[in-house]
Amino acid sequence: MNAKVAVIGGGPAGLGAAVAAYEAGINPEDIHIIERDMELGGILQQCIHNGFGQLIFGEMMTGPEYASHYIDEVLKAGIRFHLNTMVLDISPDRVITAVNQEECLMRINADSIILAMGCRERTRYQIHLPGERPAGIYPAGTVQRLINIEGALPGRRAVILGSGDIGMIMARRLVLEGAEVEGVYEIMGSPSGLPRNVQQCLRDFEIPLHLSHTVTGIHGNRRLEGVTISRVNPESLKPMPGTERYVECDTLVLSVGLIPENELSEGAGIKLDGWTGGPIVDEERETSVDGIFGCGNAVHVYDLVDDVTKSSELAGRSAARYVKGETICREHVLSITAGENVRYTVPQHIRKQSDEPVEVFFRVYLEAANVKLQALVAAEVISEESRRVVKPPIMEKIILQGDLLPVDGEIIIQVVEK
Amino acid sequence: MTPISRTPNRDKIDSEVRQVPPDSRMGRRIAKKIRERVPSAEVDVQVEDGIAYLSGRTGTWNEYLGAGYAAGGMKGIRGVVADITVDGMPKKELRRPDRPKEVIKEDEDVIIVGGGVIGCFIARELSRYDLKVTLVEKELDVATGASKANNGCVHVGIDPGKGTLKHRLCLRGNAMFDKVAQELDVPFRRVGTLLVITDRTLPENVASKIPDSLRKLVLKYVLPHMVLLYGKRKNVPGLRKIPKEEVRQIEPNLTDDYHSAVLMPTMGIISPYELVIALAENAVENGVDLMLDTEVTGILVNEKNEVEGIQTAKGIMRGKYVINAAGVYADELAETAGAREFTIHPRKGALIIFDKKLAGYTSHVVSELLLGQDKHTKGGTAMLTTDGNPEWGPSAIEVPDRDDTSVTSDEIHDILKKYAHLFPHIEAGSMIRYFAGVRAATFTEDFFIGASRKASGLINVAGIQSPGLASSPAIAEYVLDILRAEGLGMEEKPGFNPIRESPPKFSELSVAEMEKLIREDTRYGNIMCRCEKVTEREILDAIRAPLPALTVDAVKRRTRSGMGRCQGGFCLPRLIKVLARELDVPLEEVQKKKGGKVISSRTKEGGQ
Repeated sequence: MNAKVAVIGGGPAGLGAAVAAYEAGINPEDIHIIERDMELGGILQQCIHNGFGQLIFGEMMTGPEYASHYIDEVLKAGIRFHLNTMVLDISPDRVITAVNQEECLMRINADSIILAMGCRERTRYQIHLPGERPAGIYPAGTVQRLINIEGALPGRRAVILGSGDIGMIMARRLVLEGAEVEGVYEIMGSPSGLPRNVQQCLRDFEIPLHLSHTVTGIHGNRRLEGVTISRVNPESLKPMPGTERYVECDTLVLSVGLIPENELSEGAGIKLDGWTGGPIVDEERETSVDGIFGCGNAVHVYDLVDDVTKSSELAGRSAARYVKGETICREHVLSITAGENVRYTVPQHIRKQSDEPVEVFFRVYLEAANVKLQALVAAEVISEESRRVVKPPIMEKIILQGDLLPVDGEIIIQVVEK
Repeated sequence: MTPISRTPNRDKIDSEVRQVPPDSRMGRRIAKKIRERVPSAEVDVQVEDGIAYLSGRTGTWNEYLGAGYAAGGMKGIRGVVADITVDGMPKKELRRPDRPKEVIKEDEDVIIVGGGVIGCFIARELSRYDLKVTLVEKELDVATGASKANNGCVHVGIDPGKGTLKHRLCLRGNAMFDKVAQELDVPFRRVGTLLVITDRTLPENVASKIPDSLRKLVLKYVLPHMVLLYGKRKNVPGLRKIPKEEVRQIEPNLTDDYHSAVLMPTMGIISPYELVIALAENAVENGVDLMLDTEVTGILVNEKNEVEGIQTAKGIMRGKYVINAAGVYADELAETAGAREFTIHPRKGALIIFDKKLAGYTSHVVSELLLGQDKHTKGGTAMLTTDGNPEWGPSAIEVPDRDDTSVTSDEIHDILKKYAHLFPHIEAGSMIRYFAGVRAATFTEDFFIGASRKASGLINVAGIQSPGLASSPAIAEYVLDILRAEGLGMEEKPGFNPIRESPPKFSELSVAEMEKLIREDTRYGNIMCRCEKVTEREILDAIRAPLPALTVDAVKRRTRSGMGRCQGGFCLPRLIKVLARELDVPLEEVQKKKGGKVISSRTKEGGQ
């Protein structure tokens, strides 16, 4: 089987990328979306709360509503898609090996590939959570699937570790389903999810949020019986002896971070960014492997689906240009360096294609007030924006004017006090 | 079937027991030793027939252990029973479940208690003969205790002392593995041990007393030579000193920071739970009745102290011989027959596992020679599983609670630190899981295997810890010898089939083979575990096997579903639906393991 554009993943990123490639002139028959689940829409299908689409549609939609807009576009355009299909491997020369029950084993020779696999959740083992290993410890996204898709309530009394957005949303969801949420515990001194979720999911439901606390023990051999909670030193983040408290619960929900799905990316020989966990990309979202692009949470984890869609549309357009042979000047590399109070940037470098403006996304290390976001080339500020406050949970963005960018060298992104 | 007479013929077995001083003198010697080692302990000692009975109190768990070890280390003592209370630590109340009087088995020849590697190996070996054999296991699967939570090393036999059962059975067991692994279709690889001698090999107090140049000589030439001699004395085959250049080739990620290395080629690795499952399946296919979810509450003996069967939570089973393979609970089980000959004290071992994407990062069992360490807590290696995941550990920590399989932050940290000496560049972030098992240690530190001298017909197979897995084939063989000596006639069964085939593992196949399988059964095209690429068909194979997988964990141990980097986040909701459908139970009844339901109920709108 041949494809001009093969999109791995039928969630918001994959849908947006496929539609954008179609709109950029690729024949819909030559665009293939490969989705491992039974329907398109990805994780949005289990996000039945609202809050999606404010930036793009100017209204609050639920996840399935947001997804259905793009699914309709895919259907209308006649873009091909394969459901219940798992990609086993992507080779550096863009051969995709995938399996499903109808077509058995598929080999797709793709002129271009867009990685849109989304992200996965960090497990208790990645944060070294000590204790026993009973039933009842689940990542928040798994809880969301259990409740919203399978109609299964994981437990009666839950503790939530981590104040990521899904964790807070699931705290509210559990309460709505009649379960008790004893509290949300966050190791950092500030919530790791969006402020609006702190208000709407926790405060409005009177669910206590304990900052600078973590779980230091898991009890019960068979089903979870309780956890030990300790206060942590705000500087070292180490548990403070003598502050232990036993909390009875049958469920521990983990919302302790998301990591881009990177197995396929790694398998294709794509260079990954140690900070984001996703592929290193240029301003067109092309990875280190020719003709393979990345977008959405598979590149770095976004706060809002609207931004995922925008990034995927960019990748879709870029793939279309690549396929049509319109890509120009890929020799020179302008690297982007994360400077003061900047954890990482996406893109990580620019291979200047045009004088179009380039949006650089980044996250800060530390919360700060009254700051300037700056882009520097050779110690000269080429772009600057002001912010009243910056926080690690909120993704930032600075726009670089294309005509001000050199073709190679280094550009530094930094956040400094005014 | 030939009638079975239970005429003990113990001479053969007992000839191995050494000459010992009279009991009273031995008792006084042990009491003195305990006073020396643990002055604050108040312990009385009685010795009878080579067994030391300790009673009294100590202040701490460590003192309790000190007293036990003082007795267990005495020459001529074959078992230690420690009836010692520890201040502030109430003796755990034994749970006494129902004891229905209904007789559910009439005349078994052999009843085996415990579905670990020992119980299942004995069951499989007994299934060669025309005998009625039942194996009872309290959990919903075999291999749920120490047999699943060890590192799968098939040891070479260099560590146990000469003259111990451990030494003899480990050497023999190791050599038996190729055949049994092949018959049962269990992945087994003789990867070899690389023993490296480093700056940490000599204990600080020794190293500091030796001049630099001499120390280097010792580390580079003397110690490897001594290891070779030691190996020879222990009859371990094939040891050789291996030059650095060669090590670099066969283990390129190993640190260069060592003085010399010895290769022990007979070290093997196996998936311990896959072995146990295969043994159990083969036993079942050859006629053994394997009863899961059947807790044994006691051994039934008559007034002549002869075993008559067992009491279980499901009813009474009558039989002539009872094999006690109850792991950490073996002493409590023996006690129900009035046969106290040993006490088990739990020793926890934690292990960490790295992502399978690091397959090939290491290819040997790599150990650092550390002299002068506590002989009860030494051990642990940087090795790999048969699936290629690097695996480090285990630790060795004495814990009072036999069910304590928790892993503490310190343990994780210590293991990462200890083996980072050997593999300094491994990414700690690629660790995907840690777990712990509990070793069933005795104070004599040797296996305690033999016909009980207090209850005739009871065979204890206890104190099985490292190198228990390596010894398991030889232990089974030895136990059969003991049964014969105890009067059990064994006639070979013509239909015995030693071969067990494991179902195909999709992820290990070539693309062409994958395609062929999906065409045969489209359920091979439905991948349910994304990390390990496990298909619906493989999950069905596990649930429909001769020994069916009844829980999420049982499916995991057979298919690897949930063993990858996401640790079940993706497959769990999908897997529980398949389990509910196949076992014909509501979703809320599906369990991770016995007593551990995955969900509590349906949602308000769910379940219609």
